[in-house]
Amino acid sequence: MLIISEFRKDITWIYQFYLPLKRRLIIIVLLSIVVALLSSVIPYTFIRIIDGIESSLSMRYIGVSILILLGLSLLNFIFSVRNTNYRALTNLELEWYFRQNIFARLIKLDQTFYDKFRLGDLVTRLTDDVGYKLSWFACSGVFRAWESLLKILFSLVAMCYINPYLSLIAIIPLPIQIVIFSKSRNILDKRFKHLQQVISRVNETIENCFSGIRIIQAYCMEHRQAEKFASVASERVDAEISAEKAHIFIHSLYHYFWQISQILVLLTGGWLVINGKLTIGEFVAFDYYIGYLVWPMFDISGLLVGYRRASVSIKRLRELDEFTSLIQSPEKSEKPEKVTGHLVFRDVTFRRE
Amino acid sequence: MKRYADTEDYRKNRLEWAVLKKFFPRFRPYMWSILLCLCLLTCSALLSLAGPLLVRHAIDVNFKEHDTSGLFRTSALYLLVLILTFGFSYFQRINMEIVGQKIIRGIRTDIFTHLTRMCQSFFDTHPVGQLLSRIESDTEALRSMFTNTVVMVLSDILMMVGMFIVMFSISFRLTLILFFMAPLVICVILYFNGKIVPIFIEVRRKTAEIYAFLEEYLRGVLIVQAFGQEENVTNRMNYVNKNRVVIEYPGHRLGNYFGHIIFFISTLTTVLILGFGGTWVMKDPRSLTIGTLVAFLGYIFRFFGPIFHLSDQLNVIQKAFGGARRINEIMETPLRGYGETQMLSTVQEKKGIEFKNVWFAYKDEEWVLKDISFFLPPGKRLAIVGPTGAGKTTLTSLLFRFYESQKGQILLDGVDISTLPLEILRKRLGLVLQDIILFPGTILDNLRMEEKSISSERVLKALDVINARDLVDKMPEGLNSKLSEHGDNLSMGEKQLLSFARAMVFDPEILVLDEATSSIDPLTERKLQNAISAILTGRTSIVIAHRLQTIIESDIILVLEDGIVKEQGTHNELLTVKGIYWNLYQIQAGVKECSS
Ligand SMILES: Nc1ncnc2c1ncn2[C@@H]1O[C@H](COP(=O)(O)OP(=O)(O)O)[C@@H](O)[C@H]1O
Ligand SMILES: [Mg+2]
Repeated sequence: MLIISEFRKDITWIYQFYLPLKRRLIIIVLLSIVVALLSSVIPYTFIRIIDGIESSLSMRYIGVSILILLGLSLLNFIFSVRNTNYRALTNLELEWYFRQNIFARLIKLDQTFYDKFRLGDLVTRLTDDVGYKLSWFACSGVFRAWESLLKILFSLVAMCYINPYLSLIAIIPLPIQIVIFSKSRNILDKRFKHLQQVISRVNETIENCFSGIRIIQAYCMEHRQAEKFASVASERVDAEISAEKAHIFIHSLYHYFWQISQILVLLTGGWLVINGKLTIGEFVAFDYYIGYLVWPMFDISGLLVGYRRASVSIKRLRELDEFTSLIQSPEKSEKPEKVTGHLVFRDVTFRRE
Repeated sequence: MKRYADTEDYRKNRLEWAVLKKFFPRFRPYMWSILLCLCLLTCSALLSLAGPLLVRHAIDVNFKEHDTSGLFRTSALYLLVLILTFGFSYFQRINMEIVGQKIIRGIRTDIFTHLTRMCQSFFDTHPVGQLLSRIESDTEALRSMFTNTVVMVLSDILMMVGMFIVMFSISFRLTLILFFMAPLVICVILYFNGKIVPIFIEVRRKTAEIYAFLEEYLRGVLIVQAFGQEENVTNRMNYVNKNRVVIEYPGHRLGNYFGHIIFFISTLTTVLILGFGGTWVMKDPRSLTIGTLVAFLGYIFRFFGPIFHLSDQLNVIQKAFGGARRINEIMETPLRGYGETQMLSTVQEKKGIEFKNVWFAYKDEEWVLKDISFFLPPGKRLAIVGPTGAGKTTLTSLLFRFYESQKGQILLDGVDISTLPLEILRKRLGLVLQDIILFPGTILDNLRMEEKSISSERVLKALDVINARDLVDKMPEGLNSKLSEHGDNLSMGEKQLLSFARAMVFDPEILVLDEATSSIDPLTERKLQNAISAILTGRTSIVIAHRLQTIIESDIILVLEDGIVKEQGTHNELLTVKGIYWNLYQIQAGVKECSS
């Protein structure tokens, strides 16, 4: 429940920035449908071509099929480039709006705010958080995942149209993969968190050493600092390796697991071909679909990872956005006729937070 | 291109082999591991080519012969190949990661060690943040190139070569088609790379501008508000912000075109293969089978993948070369005063510290110290007074050889300190500064500066000398109590006591106190007076202080102004001169209200 309400807050926060870009975003959503449709139809042409070759149909028939494939690919090229460019532009503009909006607010906030947030931290939030982590996610992350989702959906429909049973068998590994992925995700998170802590320690050691370097050199204790560094550096190597082991495992799994689907298709599809229930062209098209679906899958899992990162950034930015200043300018005020420079402090008390 | 903080000049990252060569000896201990990785890499790269061949076998043999059990065997073989590829590539990557991490640890530790021995002028021009990024990002870029890029490029090359061999052997004619597409692909890569790289150099500059802008105006936000310039500044921010979008978007657009064109070329290849291959198959199914055609489609799919990540890697490689160059720069900076173990033996005619016509400038000819001369006999106390910026701290820095003087000589017991190994020189000196430098960790480790060979008894004894034992005793864990960063959990006076105690632990022959009590209030200072007396009695010492009370008893007082010794003598001598010191004394004693 908590996650969902947080999610809603994140979305509403981003939504206000979507509004000025509404027209383009709608175009992106629609273009994505066209692109997904085209790219899931393309493998379908293979059936005509391969089966045509297999049964030695006329050159004309095959030639026309190939031209259709070429035409569809060209259309796909045109629409897809347009769509990706729109997304890239939107990413950049969102980054601009995010930064501009928050900066305009910050510049008006009073000292209580600047007591609370360090300068370096603010700059990081306005550059690092606002940049790749957030604006990429807010447009490319979300809308590429949308396109990928459609691609998967349309391809599945096309596959079912060829042969529903084979489609079913082909997607057997998918739920297993999802389970493994989410389980290992936790391990990965834990190890990366630990790594992050160790890295902070290394950085602290470096910072402390060099901010006190005069004293260290004055007492000839350089070698002790070096030893201290060497020991945290070793600790870091262990943490890096342990995190990287989990990371490589998951990554490799992702990279190779889909091929199990290909093997299943080879086996069952082959059996169907042998028994005359599937043409070789359909078999090849199926194989192509499976191979082609890997990238949309990557995109969708990328969205999940991207969201975790973006959501941290959104929180950090909302924090700035929601900070209420103690010093409020009155909404309406009468301008005094003339400022005379007459200043009185009357029973003023002041306390720091 | 996603690293915003990076403002380095990309054009400097030329790919010079010599830059990397320096790192080769570090690989030697891991030779066997690396060889094993190469073997595993070759195996997995070649095995990954088996898929399309197996499909070809299934189509041309199993399907044709209606051989279900043969099909089953083919599938099982495919599964085996898959598992083996997974295993080989997994172990290769883990192994490489371990080797890479260990090598990088070596490099990091060496840079760190080297940096700790750099002279102070280096630290003047290199802020801590920059050092951090040298030790962190530059080495990380190297590691990323070594464990990811090199492996990826090698594996891609192996795969490409293997793929061509396999393809040539199953159909010479179809491979030729793919071969003719290669120049087209290379042209596309070169064209786009030439256009995209300069754009992203510019983007980096614009990003740095945003950084600078934010830092400047958020730091000076009070001034902005005081002058009511919020609107103005916001508009300028908008300009800088928008400017970057205008510059960066064409880069992304080109990148998108690049990706899509390569993808389209791959489709074109597919079309050509299907077109020509199809005709050939139909003409003579024995010379070219449909299975071979399908296998080729599979290879095209694998062929264009590497092109994408190879073009991505150029960025990584450039970064790594930049990092390597900067690492070399640091490692090649000579360290003065370290490692010279033998001392030049000279006749030790005159004990004590002597400055002989010393001139010093931090930069060029802007003299900070001009013709300084004095002699301090052993066991005596020298006090330096003078306004801020007079050069007092600088003078003591020269004694520690944090900097080298340009003219003149500094003699310690008659020996020029520039001929002394730093270790021998500094072991005789002790330093207490105005900004008390404490490190996070236990009190014990702070006082003995991580030197574990110093016992806690010796530390306690040092605390006794300055009467500060109760400070530690009242802590929950005594000497082992933890200090937070910069000792924020202690009061100013307590911190100052600890830094005195640190000096006492090392018990130096000569002690320098640089405004050691300036950051504490006079009341606390009076309390510390005992500690200070305890430290100074019988020791050669140089004391810099603003409050003259602390220095009245000094044997020699130097009055420094604009780097020149204006007056020199004992307290009483200087009072009779009625000069600067006398004036200063009058003000502080409250006799005179003001002087100009
Ligand atoms: N690291 C440095 N690099 C360049 N100039 C310096 C550095 N440290 C001090 N200076 C300059 O040298 C002069 C003397 O400084 P310093 O010795 O710190 O004076 P004091 O300790 O008497 O206040 C000042 O003008 C100061 O600006
Ligand atoms: Mg000073």
